[in-house]
Amino acid sequence: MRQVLVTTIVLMALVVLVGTPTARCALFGKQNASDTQGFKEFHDRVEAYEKLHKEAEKSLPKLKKKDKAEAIAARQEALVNKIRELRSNARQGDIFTPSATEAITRTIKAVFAGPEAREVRKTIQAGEPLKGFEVQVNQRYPDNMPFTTVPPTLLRKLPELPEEVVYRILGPSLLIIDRKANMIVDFIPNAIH
Amino acid sequence: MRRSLVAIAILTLFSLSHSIAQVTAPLKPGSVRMAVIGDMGTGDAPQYEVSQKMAEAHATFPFDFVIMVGDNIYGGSTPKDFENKFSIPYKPLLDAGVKFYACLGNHDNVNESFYAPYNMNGSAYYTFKKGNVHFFALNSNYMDPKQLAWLENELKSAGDKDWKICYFHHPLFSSGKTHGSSTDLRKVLEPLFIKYHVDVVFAGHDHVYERVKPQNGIYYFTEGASGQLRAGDLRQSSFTAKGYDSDNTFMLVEFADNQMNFQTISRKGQSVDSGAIQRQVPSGANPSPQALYVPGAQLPGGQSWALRANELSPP
Repeated sequence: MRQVLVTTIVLMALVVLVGTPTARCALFGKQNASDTQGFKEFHDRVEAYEKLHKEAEKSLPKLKKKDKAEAIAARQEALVNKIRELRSNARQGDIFTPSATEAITRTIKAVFAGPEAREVRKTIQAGEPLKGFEVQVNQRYPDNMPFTTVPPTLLRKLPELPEEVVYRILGPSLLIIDRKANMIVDFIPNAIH
Repeated sequence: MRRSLVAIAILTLFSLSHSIAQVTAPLKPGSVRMAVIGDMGTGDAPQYEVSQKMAEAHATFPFDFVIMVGDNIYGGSTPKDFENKFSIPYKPLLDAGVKFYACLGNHDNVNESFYAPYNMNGSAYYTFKKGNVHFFALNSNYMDPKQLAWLENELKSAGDKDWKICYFHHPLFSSGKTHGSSTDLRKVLEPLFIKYHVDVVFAGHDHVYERVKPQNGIYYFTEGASGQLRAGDLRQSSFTAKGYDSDNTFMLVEFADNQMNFQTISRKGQSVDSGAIQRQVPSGANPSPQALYVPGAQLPGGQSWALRANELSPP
């Protein structure tokens, strides 16, 4: 009788443990140690960029509610220049470090191998390609070109970003864009297959 | 003399053939009236012609505001673009005090959200209320967990007393050959729409007009042809209630109590679709008084819709 009781308690504990997402990751090794390190590194680099962005914004006059299109365009230009000045030595890989790239690429691959792969691919393929545009850090995303929708399923899996930056997909590259400056902060080439 | 008469006759015929269709909305006192436009910001002749028809419609159907379902400015966002693709074509409406509430399409610069006449107050997604109608303007270019959490909170706190209208750029249901339904977006949005009783959804992106048969009790419209047009882009699909892809269009919408009347008008002033939707008040909500009478909306050629609560079907 006692043995039956102990077995039941152990089984119930296992059900509870396997039922939680963290436990699932731990048990089935969905997020390995190097991924955790990669995400941590990514988070730190993004946070550093967020500080830089805020510093750049602080040096510029704030937009007012009644500002006209001219003022908005001028401020965007000033913000671009200020950020370029503050990170004049920026290179591809500053934010998407090798370990961050590995972790994020693995996440994307998992989405493309998952049950929502068809919808995710369809969303990306619906984007209009940017012809003759070479992706570079600190370069403005062309104002006259459309965006490819970043699939919501993918956004759910990628590390969350602060409001200053967003992910964007451009051909096979995954980009981080400064939202207000509309400028490329960093990118992973060939992240999307 | 004879030649002048012929010229006058031709001009009269031309102006008659291009005059605005009779507005079918009931124009009830105190109702919420708006127009819907999408994919309009080209700065080309069709956008100007549609805006002209909107101004004409405003004379008989004085709407207070316009919702814009994205692709507000194509090809750049310089001050000149805002002028040629927004403030000039819609000047008569802007001068009449009509407000515009935009959301962002895949061709829009994020900084459009700071452009005062778009009433976005610097946010890519936001909410506002007019009478008994709650509006939720979303950014479908980037539906991240943060925006989804915000939307859930806003839909929840809006309660069930009033209309809930969501609008954004990418359609969850579309029979457009070029883009079609945004199924990945549908997976994350539709459960929220159903759970929190969203009544009507407006989108654009496909450059056609389409009204979709109610999906889980929700009405979906695509109005992506208020400047752009992909003629012949609609395919046969099981969920289309009405489609139109041979000319540019805009929509007029009126909310009175629990009834929404809509009419879609072409660039040439032809009424291409119209009808009424009766809102089903979710149980437990404290409803506004029910509309007692549902008027028959007229379609071109005298055809009329048989109207029943929550259903539109041709006779």
